[in-house]
Amino acid sequence: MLTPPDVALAPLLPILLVLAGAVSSTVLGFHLPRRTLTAINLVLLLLSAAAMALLWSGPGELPATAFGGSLRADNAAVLLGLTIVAGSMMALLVSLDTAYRARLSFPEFDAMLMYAVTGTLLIAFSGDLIVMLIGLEVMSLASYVLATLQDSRRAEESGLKYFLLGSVGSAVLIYGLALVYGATGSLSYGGIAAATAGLTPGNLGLLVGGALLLLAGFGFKVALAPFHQWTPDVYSGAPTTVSLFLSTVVKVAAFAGMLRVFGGALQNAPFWASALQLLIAATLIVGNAASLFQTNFKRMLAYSAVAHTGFLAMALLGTPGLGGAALGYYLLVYTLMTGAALAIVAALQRTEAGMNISDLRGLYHRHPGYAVALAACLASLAGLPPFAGFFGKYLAFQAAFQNGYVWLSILAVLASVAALVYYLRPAMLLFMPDRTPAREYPHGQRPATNLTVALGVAAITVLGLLPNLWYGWLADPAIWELLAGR
Amino acid sequence: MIAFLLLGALALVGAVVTVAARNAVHAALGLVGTLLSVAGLFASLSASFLAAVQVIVYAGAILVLFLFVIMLLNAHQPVTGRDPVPFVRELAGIGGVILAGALAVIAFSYRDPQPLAQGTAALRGGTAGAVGETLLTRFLLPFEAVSVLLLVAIVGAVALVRRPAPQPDGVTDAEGVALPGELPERTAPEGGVRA
Amino acid sequence: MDPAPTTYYVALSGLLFAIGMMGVLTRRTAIMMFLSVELMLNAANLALVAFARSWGDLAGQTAVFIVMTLAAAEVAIGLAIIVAIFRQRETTNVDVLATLKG
Repeated sequence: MLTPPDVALAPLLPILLVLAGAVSSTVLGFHLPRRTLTAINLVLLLLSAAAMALLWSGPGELPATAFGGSLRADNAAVLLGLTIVAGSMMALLVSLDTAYRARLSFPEFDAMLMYAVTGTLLIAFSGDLIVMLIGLEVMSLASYVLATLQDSRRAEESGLKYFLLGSVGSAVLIYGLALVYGATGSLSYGGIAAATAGLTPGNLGLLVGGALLLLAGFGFKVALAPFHQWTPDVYSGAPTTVSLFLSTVVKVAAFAGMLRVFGGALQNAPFWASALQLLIAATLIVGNAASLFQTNFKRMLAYSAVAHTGFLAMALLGTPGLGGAALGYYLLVYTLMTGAALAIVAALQRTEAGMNISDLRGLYHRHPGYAVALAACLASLAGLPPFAGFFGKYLAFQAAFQNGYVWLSILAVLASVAALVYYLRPAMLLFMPDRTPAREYPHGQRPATNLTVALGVAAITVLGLLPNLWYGWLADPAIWELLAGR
Repeated sequence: MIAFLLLGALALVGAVVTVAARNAVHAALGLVGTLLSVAGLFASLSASFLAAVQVIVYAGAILVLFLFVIMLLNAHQPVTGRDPVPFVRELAGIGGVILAGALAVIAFSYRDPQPLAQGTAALRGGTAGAVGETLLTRFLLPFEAVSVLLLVAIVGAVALVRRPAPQPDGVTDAEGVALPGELPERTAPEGGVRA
Repeated sequence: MDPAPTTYYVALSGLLFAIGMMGVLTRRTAIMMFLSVELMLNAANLALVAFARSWGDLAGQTAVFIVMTLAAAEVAIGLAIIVAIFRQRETTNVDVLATLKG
């Protein structure tokens, strides 16, 4: 007997709107100039955010699902989706100003970016491993193209590196998916969670092996050490606008997938948390130590993205209720502060290689607005109190600490103290007396970039002072305990 | 059982040829052997549709594309010279053996949830009809989402191989004059890359 | 005649996966690394089909169909990147991509 699938458009609407932007950029690109398409895409992203907000389910309401549970538009998906939209809009706004200099101002750039956003939203809204996998692949393939698209040696090399390591990561992830399927007989998060609750010992080995391979596969995608090797090269080799997109939106989506898989489907499975804490420890040490020795500012931000992967992943070690909320908060803050910092780099850099840290000396006397904004971003990245980065880090550490990961929390605190050094050194240089000739791009001041930076810095300041503006939506543990459905 | 042993051995031989052959064409042909053996294994697992797709799509289309690119780029000559990472072969060998051992141990710990005959019967031979029915009911969303994936692949591949021309953004915006010691973007450092 | 048990198929797929992983680690041209990745994907497909028989669940087989599509799309993009980079160069050796080291 055939059972027709329950097709519902409302939960799918946020994804369809973004996809409409991607397809229209592909098709209309023959007739309309690229900047018009970017404006259309920005509007569609806003509409998509509104559609997500309408999907918010109040207390007691059941989240909207469709396609037999393959698509779950629950509150977690809405919150992660809004973070993704925020990051994507920052990338698009910055690209309005820098795409021509980066030789990326053609409709295909917008199309690939919107396709990648479609994939990221599929991950956030996924209800089974297959949908998650397809979303991950859509996102990854579009990101490989974005990283390679600029007609320059650096971008091409970074794209190839990204592609080779990314495809290895995908293969590892798919093998892990196969083993988990073998152990549980199910591909949906709910089915896996139900099967792992009462598992026969015979299949435990398979489940653990599958979970570890999934962890390694996701490790490639979010850049956990020792799977992070591609990250500094790709983030510093790709055009800065693309790096902004890759280090915010793509990372948020990969974490959304991890949250769905490990916080939802595999929450009862043993052993992956112990492996994850070793990976996090390695990531914290490698990321922070390497950041200390960078001379190029863009590359330092790339290594700082690796270090932040470690901080972010600590939230996954918490209990689902606390950890999910911590991750949700930190991901938005991370997106805003990294996005704003890279937007400033994109505006001020002379070439796509970024600028040296020493070039920042005396920036305050030349571009006071950017200097203050950059200092705020760096302070937030370092986790200094008035800014939101502090609260994000605090939540993530607290989630891991309360779940019994004491030594890791201590290591993380030590790592963030070390991080102060490399974040505050450029921040101090900004306000030093100006002795050298200006080494920035002279026409850097542009309205769209200024808007992005202003919004990002305002958001991290406000969220730091009034964290409940965002955390209040996340704080309900029920959102994060039902990631896999019931 | 005999079919499994035969096809399994062939698949392993093909796999070893794929990773060990010095000539890329030989490696691709080794992979064809593995793919065809895996197609046979699919048939022995009552997945007849997948066996056909494996031969047509994988061994047929994908591998031909590989061979085409290998020929186009003249990439079939072996690479000579020292490995940049010391002991990479030895380390990879040890790691691979450990990985294979661990996966084999895990595999042999597996217990079937039901008698095999029962599972085989439920698959209805894995015909196109049976798989297609699943695809259009339980897998409708993945089925639709995969179309997006294929679209990304098409648009991306075209955009990469035929780079579009950048459109000016309406602001006078000459690239700044290179500072001393700075290289213009497009020209890669001489000698950095063997052309 | 007796069909081969699931464990044998899974063990074989594990071996194929490990061989593919070794290939990725040791091979030094982009094309060869990519061929090894295809081997790993096939190992995963074999395991999925074996588990599908064991559970009597067509979802496993359908998932393989999806993974094959995925692999095809990945090949299209991957080969496009490789062609875009190496059309004017005579090697696909990844060692020469040393500009970004450090």
